[in-house]
Amino acid sequence: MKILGEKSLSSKVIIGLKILFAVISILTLIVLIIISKIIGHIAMQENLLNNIFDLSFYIVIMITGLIALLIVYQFIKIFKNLNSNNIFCKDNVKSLNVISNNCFAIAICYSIIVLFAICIIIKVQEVFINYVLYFSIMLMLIFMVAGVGIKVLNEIYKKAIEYKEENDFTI
Amino acid sequence: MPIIVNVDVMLAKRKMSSGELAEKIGITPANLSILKNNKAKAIRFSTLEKICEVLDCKPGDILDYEK
Repeated sequence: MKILGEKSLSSKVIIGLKILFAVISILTLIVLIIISKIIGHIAMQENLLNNIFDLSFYIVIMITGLIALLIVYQFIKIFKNLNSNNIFCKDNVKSLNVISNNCFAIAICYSIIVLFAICIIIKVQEVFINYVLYFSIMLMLIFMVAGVGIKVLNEIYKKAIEYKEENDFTI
Repeated sequence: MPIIVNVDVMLAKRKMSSGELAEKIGITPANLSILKNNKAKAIRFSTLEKICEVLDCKPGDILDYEK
């Protein structure tokens, strides 16, 4: 099976990534609608503490959604370069750098939720907050590890480009 | 890079064209152009040997070092 180039696995991955981009966009819009509803509940002073937690949770989810869109966009760019057999180009290094920075940004967002959940869990004993705490810790760790991993890959890629250039310019 | 390739000087001395040299040493004119414009990162001993053979000179006549 052909992995790189036209009509290969990477061209199919692009389609998958474009679908993922659309799905994340729709989910972000849904979160936006949920946020507007929660704001309505807060305005009516209903279950204030829980609603404020929910609001902050969904705002962070929306921010991470937008960052995830950026990550998917960068992946689409990388796979387009792979398709055009332009594997060792500096654009890919830039994209990987952006992806790793965005992973760290998402990890920071989830660490904010973790801190907020820990603060609120003392006052409100609710199963939802326990789930959110567990899920946020998991995602925070996953994105932190992904960020570090992609940063290391980025450095390896950068070295590979240097070696390729040296090889190309050896007469 | 402080290493300077003076192939064009030797070419002028030997009254030889770049295309002719590229053909004789078996590299593409594009690669010879990279060498002449000091864009090359390295030169193989085999290439250097062929250039010296064709231009009838020593490596020192082609390569120079400037701080």
